[in-house]
Amino acid sequence: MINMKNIRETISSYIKEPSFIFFLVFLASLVAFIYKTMQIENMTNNYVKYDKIIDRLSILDNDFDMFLSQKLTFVNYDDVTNDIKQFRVNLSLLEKAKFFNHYSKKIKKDLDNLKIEFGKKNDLIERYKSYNATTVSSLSYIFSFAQAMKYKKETYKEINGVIFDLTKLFIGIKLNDKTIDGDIRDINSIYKKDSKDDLKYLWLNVKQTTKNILILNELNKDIKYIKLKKIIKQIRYKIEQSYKKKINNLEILSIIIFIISIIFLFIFVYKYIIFLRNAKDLVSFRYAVENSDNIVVITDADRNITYVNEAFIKNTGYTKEEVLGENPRILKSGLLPQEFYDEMNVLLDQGKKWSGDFINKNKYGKIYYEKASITPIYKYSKLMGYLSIKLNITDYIEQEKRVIHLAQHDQLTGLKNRRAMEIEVEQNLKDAKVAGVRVAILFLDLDNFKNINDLLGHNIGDLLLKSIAKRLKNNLDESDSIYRFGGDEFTIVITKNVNEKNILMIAKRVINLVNKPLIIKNNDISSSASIGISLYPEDGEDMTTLLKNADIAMYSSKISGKNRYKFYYENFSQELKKSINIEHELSNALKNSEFSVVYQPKYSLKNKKIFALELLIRWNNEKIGTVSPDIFIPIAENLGLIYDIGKYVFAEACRDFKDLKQNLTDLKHISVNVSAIQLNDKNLKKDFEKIMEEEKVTPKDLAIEITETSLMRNIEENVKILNEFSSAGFTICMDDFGTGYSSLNYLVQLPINNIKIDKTFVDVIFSGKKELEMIKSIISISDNLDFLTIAEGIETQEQEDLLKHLGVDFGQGFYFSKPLPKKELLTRYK
Amino acid sequence: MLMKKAIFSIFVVSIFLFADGITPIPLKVTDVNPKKVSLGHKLFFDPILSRNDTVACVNCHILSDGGDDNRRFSIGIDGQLGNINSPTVYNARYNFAQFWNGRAKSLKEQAFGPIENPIEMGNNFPNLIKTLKKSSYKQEFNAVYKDGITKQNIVDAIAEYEKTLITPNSPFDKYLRGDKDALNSVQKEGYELFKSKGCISCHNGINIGGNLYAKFGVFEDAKSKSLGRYEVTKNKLDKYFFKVPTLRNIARTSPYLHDGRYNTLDGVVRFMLEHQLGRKAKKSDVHKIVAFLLSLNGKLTK
Repeated sequence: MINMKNIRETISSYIKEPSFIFFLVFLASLVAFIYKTMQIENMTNNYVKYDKIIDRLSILDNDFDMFLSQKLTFVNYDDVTNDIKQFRVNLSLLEKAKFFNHYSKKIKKDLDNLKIEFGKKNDLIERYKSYNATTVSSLSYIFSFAQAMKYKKETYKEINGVIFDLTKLFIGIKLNDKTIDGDIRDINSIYKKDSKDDLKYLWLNVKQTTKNILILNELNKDIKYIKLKKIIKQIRYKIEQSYKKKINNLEILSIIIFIISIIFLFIFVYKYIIFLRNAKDLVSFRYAVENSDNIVVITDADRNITYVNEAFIKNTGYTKEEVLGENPRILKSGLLPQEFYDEMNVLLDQGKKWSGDFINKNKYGKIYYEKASITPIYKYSKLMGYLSIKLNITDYIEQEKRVIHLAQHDQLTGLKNRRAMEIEVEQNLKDAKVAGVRVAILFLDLDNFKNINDLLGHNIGDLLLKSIAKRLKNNLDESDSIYRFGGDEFTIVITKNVNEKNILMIAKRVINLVNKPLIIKNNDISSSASIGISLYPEDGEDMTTLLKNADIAMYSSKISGKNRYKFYYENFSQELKKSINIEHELSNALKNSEFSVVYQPKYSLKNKKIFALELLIRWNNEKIGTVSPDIFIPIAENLGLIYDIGKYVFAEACRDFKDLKQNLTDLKHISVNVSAIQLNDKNLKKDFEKIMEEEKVTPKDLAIEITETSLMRNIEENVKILNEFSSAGFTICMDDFGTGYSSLNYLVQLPINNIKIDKTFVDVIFSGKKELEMIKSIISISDNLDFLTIAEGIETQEQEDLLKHLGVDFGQGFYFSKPLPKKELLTRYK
Repeated sequence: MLMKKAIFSIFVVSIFLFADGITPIPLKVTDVNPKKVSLGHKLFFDPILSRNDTVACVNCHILSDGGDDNRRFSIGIDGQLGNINSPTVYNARYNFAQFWNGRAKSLKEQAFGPIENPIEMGNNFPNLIKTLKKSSYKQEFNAVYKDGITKQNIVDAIAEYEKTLITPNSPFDKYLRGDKDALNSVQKEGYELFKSKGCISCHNGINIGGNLYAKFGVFEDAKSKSLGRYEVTKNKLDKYFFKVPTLRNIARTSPYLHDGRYNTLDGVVRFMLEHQLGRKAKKSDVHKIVAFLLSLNGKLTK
């Protein structure tokens, strides 16, 4: 049963194939053509057959006429009898239905006429036979009588006359009735005179013969009225015409059929060539489909899988055998809602193409993503099945996730970045608004991070950031989000239990965490952070405002001395306005002559005489008041203003030196602080020389004071530059010595003249044993290397005495003199 | 005078001179289907053809005795008497028509007649076919004819058999074939008279007759009850015209003429000479002609 159905389906599918139909039509036409050709031959054969019959009828009719012309002759009637029989037989051959089918039913009428006329002729012949037979025997009697008669001359003469008349009749000479009647009367009168038997029979025979001859003559006349010949001719003509017409039609028809069959043959061949090409294409397509990276699945109309390609097997883990006949829903992961499939089915049921992304699971339960398009396949407007082309996009999706992760995370610390923060905080604020809760943003900036970077290099700086990030991450609640905002800035967003007390505790904890000592690559690093806190909703309704305000609060912490936290409050903003405007004001400070300089003396501990003056800059702005160099110098460095400020300071020193030298006779030089950034300016020395030339001072009148920490960065280069300055005649003074990390090796290489012992050592000279030892070491090194030592920040008599005792050469500090403007200094030491 | 006589002689001679008047019967029948013949043979002898299983063809066409029944009129079913003399079945195939009035053009047509004639076999074809189908004829017909037992096939078989009923090798045929001793001198004279008296003008051809119609009573009224061919054609001209019968085996088929009015050949020859030929019948002539007629007996089929 199934086989039969399959076969039927196969056949019907072939029959539907256009090229096959064309082939069938071609075959049918060819058969029709052959059939028509055979018909033509058949018709010709038939025509020849019937024509022969008509021929025979015609010949027989001629025979009949021949027979009828043999008047008064003895004839063996078998011949004519046979002829009649033959005529009848041939006639019956024409009477058959086939004959009319071959020609026309109209011929039937002619044939009927033919039969009627033949009947007439037949009757005539029969009559002719009868009368001819009688007449022949009568004539025979009469001639025999005449041959043998022995009568009187008169009688003889009379009989002879009669016989002569009969002879005339016999040979066809017409006699009038009178003559014949006369003859018969004559014979009768002879018989009556001489009543002999033979005369009686003579009279009877003459009477009979004359009568018969007349009848025979009449019959001969009648022959003319029989139209047998004409009808035969007519039939012959008609069948010939009919035959010619039919043959002509058939020939035209068969030519048409032949042309049609040729046309269909061409169409078939053309279609077949296309079919072959398609078949070739199909092989290529199949190869392409088989080896495509796209997953190809074909189902029947009931959505049972009928085909899957290699990619399917590779991606799902199923073998062909396992999935053929199955519904593709076996791949469902259940991760997509039913509505997703419902929407897809609505489209497919409408016969439309669907495309979308599946989340499926493979044979082993592993989830994978597919970009899929499903197209219903229609053939002759009947749904044949579905074609599904899918691409496994799992890698892509994962990659995308990674990209998003990367885009939202800081690579160095692994924390979420600013971008992520913006997205998440927006969401947090939305959620908080709905829930009616508060959110806190802690803005954290590491203090002095720039110094660490400058002194120890970026590597160490990076490691520091990493360590702090790790600490924060490990020690804060999971619900608290930490972001690296950029550089050394972090934000901490708190969404749970946001109240002042709680936030305060968290801020304290963060500061403690940052303050914890840290050893990075054998460097002891202490770090601190300034934190600003803003709260939603009171400090801002949107992220930008909240961040700005947290930043302001942080800035306030910085200004307030760093390593602390501050909550934002509204007036706070007003107070800090000037601070925030430092940068803006600083850039105009030089132009507006807002800078001024003061000098702090460096004096000999032995004779208390002023040996040198350290120039210190002061900035007084109308709006923001006096700003410490500790704050604005780094800003000036960042803004690139430091070069001009540096030149201004150096020029002031040069200009003031002569006046001061006149009053302070022991004054050797004025020292100017130069930052590492300035030092790296290639034009620095030229600029200084130009200024000195203008002010008519020499390098020995000036000292360059540079901090140990800034020297250590880029030490090799700095050694070179300082050597140039030193050889030019400048005094080189190392500031803040002891706080940095100078190695002895560098101390030897550097062209140092003076060393300043940092205030931190001096401060604890009585309490810190280590620091005292440190001072002693510095003094010892300086003795050995011919450095002059200067102790900073001497504030008491005891400090001065001890330092003097230890062998320090010079002192500086509030105990001797605070920094003073030039005017005041001149007044005091006049 | 002599001249005239010579002319007449030429006329007389010319009438019969070139006439190949009579031809012999073939020695064998070859144009038949043996199967049909054997079936027809069986039917010919079987009274099953008649309504009550009493009359067979052979009843009136006794083959051992000239192919007729030697009665003036034949006796049909239930002993009914016919009104016409039964013609011989022998050599009937050479007749141009069958029956005295020629109403059947062929043997087949003839065969319909007696079966359905109420005073001959008194049957009808539907009944006959029914009867035959119940008999062993069913297989026999099926063996010969595709369409089995039909009206046409029944008469076809009978006619086919009748075609075989010929009587070759009569002494006269032998004579015609060149055996000059086959006839004695009287018979030879009789043959000459047969020709010169004009008998041959009607009795000619292979069957010595049977190829034309002739008026019965040309010179004198023959007093016939039957109107002959007129009965078929209803044409006045055909009144008293009868088929000229065959003279083969004539000695075996008395009585003679359509109404069997003569029992002897002498009688019928005399009648013919006087009524049909208009001549005086001399005793010696009649004797000689009868002697000739006796030479026309052929070999009968057994």
